[in-house]
Amino acid sequence: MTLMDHLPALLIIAPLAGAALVFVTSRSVDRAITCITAAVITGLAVLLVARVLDGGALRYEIGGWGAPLGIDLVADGPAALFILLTAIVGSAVTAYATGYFPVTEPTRYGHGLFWTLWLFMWTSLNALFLTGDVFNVYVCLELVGISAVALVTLKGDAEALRAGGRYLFASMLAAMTYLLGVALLYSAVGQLDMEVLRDALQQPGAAASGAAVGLTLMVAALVLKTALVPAHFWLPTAHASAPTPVSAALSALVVKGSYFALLRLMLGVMPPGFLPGVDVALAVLGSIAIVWGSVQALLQSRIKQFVAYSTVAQIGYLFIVFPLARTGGDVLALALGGTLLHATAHGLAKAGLFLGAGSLMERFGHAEIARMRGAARSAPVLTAVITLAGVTMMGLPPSGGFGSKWMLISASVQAGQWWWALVLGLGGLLAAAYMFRVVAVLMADTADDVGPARAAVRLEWAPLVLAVAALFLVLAAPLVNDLVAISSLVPPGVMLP
Amino acid sequence: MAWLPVLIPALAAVGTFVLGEDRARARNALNLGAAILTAGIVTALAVRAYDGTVTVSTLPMLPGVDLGVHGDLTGLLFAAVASVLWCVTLVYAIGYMDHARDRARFFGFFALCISAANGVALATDPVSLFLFYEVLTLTTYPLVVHSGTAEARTAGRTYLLYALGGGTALLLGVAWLTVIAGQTPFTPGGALHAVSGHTTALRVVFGLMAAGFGVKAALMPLHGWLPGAMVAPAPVSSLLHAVAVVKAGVFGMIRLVNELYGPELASSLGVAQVLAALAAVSIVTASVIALRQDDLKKRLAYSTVAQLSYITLGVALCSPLAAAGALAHLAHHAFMKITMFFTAGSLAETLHVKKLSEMGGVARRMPLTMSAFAVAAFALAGIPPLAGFASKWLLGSGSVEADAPWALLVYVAAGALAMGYMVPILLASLRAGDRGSRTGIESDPRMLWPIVIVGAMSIILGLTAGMPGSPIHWAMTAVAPSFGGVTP
Repeated sequence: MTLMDHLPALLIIAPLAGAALVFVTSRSVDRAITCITAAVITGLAVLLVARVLDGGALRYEIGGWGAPLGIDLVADGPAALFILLTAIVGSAVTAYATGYFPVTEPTRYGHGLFWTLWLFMWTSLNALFLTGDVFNVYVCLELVGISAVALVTLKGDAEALRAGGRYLFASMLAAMTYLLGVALLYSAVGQLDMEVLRDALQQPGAAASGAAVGLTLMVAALVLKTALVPAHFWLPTAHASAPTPVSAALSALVVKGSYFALLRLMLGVMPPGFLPGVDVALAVLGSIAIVWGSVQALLQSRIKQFVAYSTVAQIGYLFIVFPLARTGGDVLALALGGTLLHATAHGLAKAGLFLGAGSLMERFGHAEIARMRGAARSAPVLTAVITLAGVTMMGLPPSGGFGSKWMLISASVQAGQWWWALVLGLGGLLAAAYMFRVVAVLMADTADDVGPARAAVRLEWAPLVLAVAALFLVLAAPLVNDLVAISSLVPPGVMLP
Repeated sequence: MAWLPVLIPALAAVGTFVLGEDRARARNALNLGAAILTAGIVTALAVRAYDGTVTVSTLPMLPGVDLGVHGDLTGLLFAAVASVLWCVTLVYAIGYMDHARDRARFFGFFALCISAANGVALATDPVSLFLFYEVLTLTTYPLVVHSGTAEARTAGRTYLLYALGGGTALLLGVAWLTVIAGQTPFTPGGALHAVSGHTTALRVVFGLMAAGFGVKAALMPLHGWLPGAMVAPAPVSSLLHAVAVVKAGVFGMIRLVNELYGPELASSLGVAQVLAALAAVSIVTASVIALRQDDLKKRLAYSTVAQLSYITLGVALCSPLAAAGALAHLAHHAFMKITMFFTAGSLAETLHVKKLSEMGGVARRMPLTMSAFAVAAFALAGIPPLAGFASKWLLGSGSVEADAPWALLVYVAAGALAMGYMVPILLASLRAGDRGSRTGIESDPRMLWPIVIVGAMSIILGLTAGMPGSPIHWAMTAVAPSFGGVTP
């Protein structure tokens, strides 16, 4: 076996080794180790995408045992895409964090712990994307959840602790529900590996067993972790009160982790209609999320809360795929491609938006949007970040958001479910409303006081790189579609074209 | 090569942003150089297109959808107007914005607008056109709110409300069409013959797309954003009202009727007739409203609404002569209207005159400027042998050819109304008033000469109407294939 065959394991080992090194070595080398680790992971992620495009999905048997006895890692096209997204966003967040956490005040925000926790969360996310086993999903979800809660509470003030507590509650509730679901599923089917489960669930009578109840619980748990309306109650406070690099990672990546597990369950494991009505219900909730999240974003007076509610809205788009998927063929390819492109574009743009919003807060010394007038002149790069990232939120060309909206609308019309197309159109308009409300303030001619620019140019350039990448992401749509073609997210009995 | 008219202005914009606020000389040189280069490339493409060689270039984008541009005659006429007027407007804007703030932002987005407008002009198909059309909306917004005042920001919000609403309608229409027919490149005479059985769907798609284009084309009742957007700096008003934005709307109508549905299908579905009726109502209503405006820029704005509907009506008549007249009027109106907006900007910037009632003595103070304005005003009203006459003659003959005498009546009435709203401006400037007593004559030469040049174009384009390469000849050659290759 060559290095290329070990890529899935290496993508988990590298960040874990980095986290361990940061933990045991002196504080003065934290940043250096984290940056090197981020670079290594990015390199490995690029190799993984190349490998998957070249040789198809990769199945890696840990210790050589193989399912159903051992634990398998599965690196198919979508998993490789999410790993690459995590690597790119993660590198930008790391670069930003080196400028954000002041070197001179090592205890502020308790950031001595940041680097370890951050690499540990990265490890768990990569593992979550790669795991091919429903029980391991539980383990990874717990690891991601614990490190995320710890990161949210880094600042240690009352607001952070309250938000962290709420987040912890949601996270534990989801984990317990999921575990209960897995237990029921296991007692009914006796299998945990997703591919084996997929075959088992197609047996006649599988739906009547406890498997359906177990899977329902698992889906509900993942919906809670992904913060789909009405289970979004924990997200805005947790994402808004965390230190800025953490906010970016949570909104851009962590919600995608549980979402990806949900996608695997709904499309990769269950036959169409196994849980009747759930696919439509999820899309309806997604539509409500688009409207509700946007309206809330429109009403927020503080900038990070505003960005967080925009995440609530954008998550909704990810759920339109489910009622479309069972049609198969072109519709499935379009809907899946659009959804994954949306997840990618949103990941890049939302990380950029959060990092940019955090820098604006630092510059103005407060979080009130209404008192950030004149930023277009005093902080032009940050204004550009907010505006360009906004283009993706609105789904206007040439952003990745446009590509995904186009594909989802085409899929809806082609499947004869045109009403989703109207929701998608309305969502774009609402996003324009909430984004331009903020942009208009930044463009105002009256100027509010700003503090001096921090020496670290990373605070401006890291978000700009992300926002620009998202802006031209429609050009990456062919790559995403190639990766979708190497997907295990195809319901049994349904074909990709 | 077909990408260059899109890429060069975009690169100039990036350069402008990177150069920053203070390096004015380098910025001006970069923008002027890019503008002249772009105009040259468009000309070269046009020479090729006249010889029958259409340069096409595509780039894979979404599944089953490529992003493409091509240098065909119809598109190149619009691109030529945008690029040539970009050169002129730049000189004017450099003078106008001499002491203004945020010039890097201004010139950067200006160049981006031209890039997007050229993209709209050269797009090969509805999806690519939609892409550039939305980019145009976004890049115009910072120009509309440029001053940052509360008034400007309100105007910006109204603009976005209309433009993004229209854009959403266009997106749904284009997406639906692509599901029915796949990606359909614009083809003279229509590209939808194979799917003409889907009559209901095609009617709805036409409605959605026409609504999308109608916003920028200020087709009543979708024109509400245009008078408000007048708060923008004068070079932007000129660009908005004469060159890029509104023309992108009517240009979309031309592509939609002539080269997507085709005149035959559009009239057999009955959609062209509805569009024609809306445009006719829009012409008359806007002209009447223009009569009563005291604010100079508002009066010009309503005149724009009326003139744009001339073009829409011409296309919707589905006759070769009217279609050629519409395309030629797109170019002619650009030159005439930009002269007027430049003049309005000079009056406001140099003399602080914004209303007709304040214009006394202006003609004595700025004789050259007001002469150029007068030429453009008479051209707009269709006085021979100026540019507006030539295109209106074609539009009128086209009405007869289409067996629609009522349209001829509308055009004649609108001509009379145009005299009605233009002549009072000239009279107001000739009245005695204190404006003439101020020291100095005319304005900054960088503002004066562009006005004189574009004003002179109204005469030159009228006199050379029959020659190859003139907008009239160009438009006739361009629309001929849509009507079975017969040169009208």
